[in-house]
Amino acid sequence: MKRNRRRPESLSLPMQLWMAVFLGLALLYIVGLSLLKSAGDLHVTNEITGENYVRILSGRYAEVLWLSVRLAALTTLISLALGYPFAYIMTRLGPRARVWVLLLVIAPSWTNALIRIYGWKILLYANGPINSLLQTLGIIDRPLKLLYTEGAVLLGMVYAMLPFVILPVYTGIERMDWRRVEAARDLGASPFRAFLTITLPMTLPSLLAACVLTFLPSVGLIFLSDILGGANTVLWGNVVQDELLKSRDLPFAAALSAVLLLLTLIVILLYRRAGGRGEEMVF
Amino acid sequence: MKDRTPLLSLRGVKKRFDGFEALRGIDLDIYPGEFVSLLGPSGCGKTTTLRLIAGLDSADEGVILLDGQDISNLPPEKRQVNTVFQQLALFPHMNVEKNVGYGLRMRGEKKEKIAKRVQEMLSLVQLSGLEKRMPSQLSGGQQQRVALARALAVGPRVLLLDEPLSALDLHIRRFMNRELKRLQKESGVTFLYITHDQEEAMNMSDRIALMNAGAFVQVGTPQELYDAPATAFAASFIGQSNLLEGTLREADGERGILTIGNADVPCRLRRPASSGEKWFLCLRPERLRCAAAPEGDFALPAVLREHSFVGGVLRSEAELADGRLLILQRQAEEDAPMTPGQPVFISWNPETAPLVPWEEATHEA
Repeated sequence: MKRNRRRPESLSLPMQLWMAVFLGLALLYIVGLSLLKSAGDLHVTNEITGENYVRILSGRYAEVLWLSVRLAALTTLISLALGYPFAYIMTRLGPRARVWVLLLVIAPSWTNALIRIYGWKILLYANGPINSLLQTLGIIDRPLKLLYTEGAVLLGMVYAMLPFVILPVYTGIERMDWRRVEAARDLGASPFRAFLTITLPMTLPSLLAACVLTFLPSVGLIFLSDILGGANTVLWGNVVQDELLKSRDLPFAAALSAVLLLLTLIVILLYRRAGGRGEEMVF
Repeated sequence: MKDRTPLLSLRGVKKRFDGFEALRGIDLDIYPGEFVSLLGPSGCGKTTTLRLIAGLDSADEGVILLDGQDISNLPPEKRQVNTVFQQLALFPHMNVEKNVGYGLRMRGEKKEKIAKRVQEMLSLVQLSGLEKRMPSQLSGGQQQRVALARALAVGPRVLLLDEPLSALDLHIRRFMNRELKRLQKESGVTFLYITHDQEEAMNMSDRIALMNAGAFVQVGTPQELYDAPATAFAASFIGQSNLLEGTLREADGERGILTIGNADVPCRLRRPASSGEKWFLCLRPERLRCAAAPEGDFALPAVLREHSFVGGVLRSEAELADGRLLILQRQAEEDAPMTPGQPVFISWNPETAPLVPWEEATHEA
């Protein structure tokens, strides 16, 4: 499992340089910015202060962070619960059917994400198709409040993130050596126990990668909560956006971003400790 | 051995894959404690046979009986047979101990019992002390032993081995052959061993089931297969042989006269044959005598062609009058030196030269 594939490090030098300049420096800039004092209207003074962070600790921000993390975690869980079986069944399909299903998974991303979310909004309207259908069938008397709820945001997030579970998990299961599952069956494991003891642990790296790929973007999503959650669901990303575009407080927005950055770092460190490797994330 | 009831039986087993007939109705009985090899060239249906017995594929026709019970429709986990796979299929995320104990855990055995059995198995395959190693930290031979221990730990009625040594190099392979034979004797488990290596099969097996093109060619002891090959394929796949085409001139009970080219040679008839029929005479290289002057009742004149030393033996080719080549094998120091180009006379003991049914196209192994 712990194979050490050594490649000449120097080959990745151009990429590392690119990353250092455009990612590393940019992130450092944000962290630096977060330690300055705001002069209002996107201006800063050169006074160094930690008060932006004190402000984060004191306000309602903990609550927002908790909601963001909770929604992202729920999104990840639901996406995994839906995506893993989907990917598993996909690998059991014939080669032709597999190509078509793969196409169906990828095809929606050819349309702008914003447009697809507006599509969901239309579906969820009080007088939208879902409510009309339920009313016609006599299941409900009055339209349900679907839009501008946490549930709507969750639905949108799962919808947006599902391919990021299906694709890595599909590759993971695809790459797995099925003969090991046969060996488990041969040794007396029922199909379900063979899945639990062999298939699942052997595809765990791809599962972990799917977690990271789903959780991290989910924490930072802005437009989804805007469109589907309205003013009822304010996530961390929305707070950053507000500070930047409405309050025009550059250092405070930077401090809020730095918190998100720290969270990302923690998640990646956890992922590494759980045995995840970067190369599994490439699909 | 044959008077006992068979442990594992195949009855008219057929299997097709996309119109390709992988098994064309095979029958086989394996008796308790036997070491049987399925021998044949690649693609002959050996692995398919094994997968059907293990329950990893299902037969289109026919039944598989274990102890007289039809197991054809049981899933693999319900069959008391276990497999050592060609690619071993060790579980990479479990250490040696966990791999070997896997089957017992699936059966819900108690921890102490599993630990004890694992220790027994590891000492049987001589891997004690490596319990905590991961498969990736073991050598090829060691991984082999883990795979064996894992399959044997469950206590199978029949152990199926699918060319488990094919990934090892020759030296280790021959060593593992002896090890396997020892293991089989010590454990008393019935082995069904798949191989395309006839030497391996000859070394280890009580009986060999020779396969070709989805059917059994001959089933018998290594000696039977060598001494009395049923077909030209069997003669050429097991050991080396010279097949000489001839016509039976006389057939009188067990004695016959075969005309090869323009020479008449005596032969032993082990099966019914009548004069006028075409037969192959199977001449094993090491059973041919080669002399400068004719000796005995008959001899085929030939010219010695090439020589080569193979260990202590001398292999040479002799060209018969009609241009056919015979391969000979002699003890290097035995005969007076002979040189290529020299006329010689080839003879043999008719008792050791079986007749093999003639067929149009002969297979080359």
